[in-house]
Amino acid sequence: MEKRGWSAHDSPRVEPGDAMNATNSARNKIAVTVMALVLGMASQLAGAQTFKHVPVQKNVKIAQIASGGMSAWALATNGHPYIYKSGKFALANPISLTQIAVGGGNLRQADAVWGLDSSGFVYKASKSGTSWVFSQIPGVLSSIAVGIGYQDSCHPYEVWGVSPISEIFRYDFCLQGFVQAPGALLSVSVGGGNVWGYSGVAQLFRFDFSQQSFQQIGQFGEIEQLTVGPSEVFASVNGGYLYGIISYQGVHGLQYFSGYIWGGLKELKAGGDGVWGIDSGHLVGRLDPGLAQLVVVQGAQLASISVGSGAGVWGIDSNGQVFAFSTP
Amino acid sequence: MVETAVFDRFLQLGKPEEVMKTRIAKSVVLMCALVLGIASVQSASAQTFKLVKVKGGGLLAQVSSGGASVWALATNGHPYRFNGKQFVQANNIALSQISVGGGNATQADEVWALNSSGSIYRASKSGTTWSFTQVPGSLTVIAVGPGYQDNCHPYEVWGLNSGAAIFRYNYCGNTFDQVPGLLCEVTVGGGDIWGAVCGPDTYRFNFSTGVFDQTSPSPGFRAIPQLTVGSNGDVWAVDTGTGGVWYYSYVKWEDITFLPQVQAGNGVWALDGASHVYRWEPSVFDFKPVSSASLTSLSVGSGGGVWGLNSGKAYMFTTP
Repeated sequence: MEKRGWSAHDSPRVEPGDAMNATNSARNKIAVTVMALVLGMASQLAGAQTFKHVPVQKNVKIAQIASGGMSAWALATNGHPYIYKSGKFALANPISLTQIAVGGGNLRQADAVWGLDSSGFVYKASKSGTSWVFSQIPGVLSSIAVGIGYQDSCHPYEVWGVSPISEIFRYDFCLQGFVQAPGALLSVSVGGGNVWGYSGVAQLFRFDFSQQSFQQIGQFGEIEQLTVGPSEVFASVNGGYLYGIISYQGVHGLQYFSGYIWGGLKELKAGGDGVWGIDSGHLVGRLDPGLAQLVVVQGAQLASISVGSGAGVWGIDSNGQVFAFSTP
Repeated sequence: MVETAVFDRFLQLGKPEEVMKTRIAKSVVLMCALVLGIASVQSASAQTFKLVKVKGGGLLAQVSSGGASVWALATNGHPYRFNGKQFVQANNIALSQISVGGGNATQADEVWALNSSGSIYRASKSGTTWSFTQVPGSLTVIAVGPGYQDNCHPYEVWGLNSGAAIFRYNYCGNTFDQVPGLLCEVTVGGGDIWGAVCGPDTYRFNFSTGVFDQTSPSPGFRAIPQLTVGSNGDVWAVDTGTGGVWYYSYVKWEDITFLPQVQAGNGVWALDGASHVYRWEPSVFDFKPVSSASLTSLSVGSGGGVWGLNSGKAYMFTTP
């Protein structure tokens, strides 16, 4: 009784691509969600588990945050990269970036940290003494994703990117350069050593390492977001509905999770630290595995979220302030 | 519509005859893969378990990987903590079980332990010193993970006593509160609590009612399952009656293969009877051999990483 899901109605699955069904269901869900929020949020006021403010050096406003395996990074609104250290974010380097991706680390190995600037130039961060250096890597990308690599010694981390014309690239640590993979994707996501992507015609793909190519998994309606956790893949489909992509013996299917609220999911992120989402009203939800639905996190209003695999769950509010989820 | 049909087919899998055939076939394939594959395919791989030193050279009996730290117990029971390079002794107390979890970059792991008499200890750091403070009660099993429910349970700390009674630690009252029911096994992960009675039935704690609900449909375990819950609440079980590995996919149990030991955290790892290591590969829904590493036990954390023991030595999985 301590919490309410975003949607408590009994609707185990919605067929993707069925717009009428989705619209009717959405109306019902909104009504139920209003009640759930009114009834549920009030009962959560006693919880200590929420997002708590984290200071940034010189009170700089943050535009993006990235949580990895053992470190959390942020980009200020002026593009400077900051790293979380000793209770606050400190400037790491004066370079100006538009995107940062972090992952693959743990207590014994550092996260891989990669960034893009406004021209799409690619940078790899490395530590030299106490300083962070961002070295340019040949290539131009519009998005980049980083995670742990399980395949071979040339890919200790999986670093993938998509170019402005939807070409797909994978970084080879032996060649120290990006190698193009066959196909074209709008977006690529990395997690748990796996690489997934989707095209502009709603086709979902998974990279098959044995064939070195992306294999189509299905066409699940309009995929708005795709996120890959350590053992699972989730997508926001058809206006903010949360689905898990389940694979079994080569057969792939969808698992619907209640998680739709006003306007649906604005952001959906999965990592080893859970599956989290934000709706268009900036409410934050965590996928409760016991309930198999997103549950509202009390007192949190976030504009963006990042879920790590050890470094925790971080968010930014609409004022550029940084928050970290903590339980004590 | 096509995808819905596929998913329905997915849900219908699991008839006993098909299950047995599939699992036997998978076991044969796994063995062949081990014999033929490891040497040729993975010889160049940097992704393997590497030896980690123990200061003083002591042998370890247990390792526990959490969200932001890794602890171990030496064969003499002394607790050791991994400092980023090696294990160093944290305290002189003698313990028989240690459990670590719930930490991340901004909050410390909780560290709880039992001694050979079942006395309970909670670790805390004072300056540079780790102390273990006794907490009233006696348990035979203790499990620790993150707590998402309320401010009296910022971490989920659960235990069982010798009579199979169930206890949950209340940080407001600083005591273990008894929970209705009896279990022979309890496990924590992703804020979720699972348990098994001294038989084939599995239970999941219902936070809204405060009791354990039997999970259904039952997978039909032959004997008590060894349960493990991943960092996102994914649940795995080894049927000790058959050695079969099962996965609970939010909807129902799915049989996977035969492996005697599975540990879930940030990823799912397993050992076979010959100490070979496997990693769960979600994209192909199967376990894949990892490396030539030989381990006798595993611990899978989130930020703490994946650790194993063999002959008292500690090994950690690294990719570069």
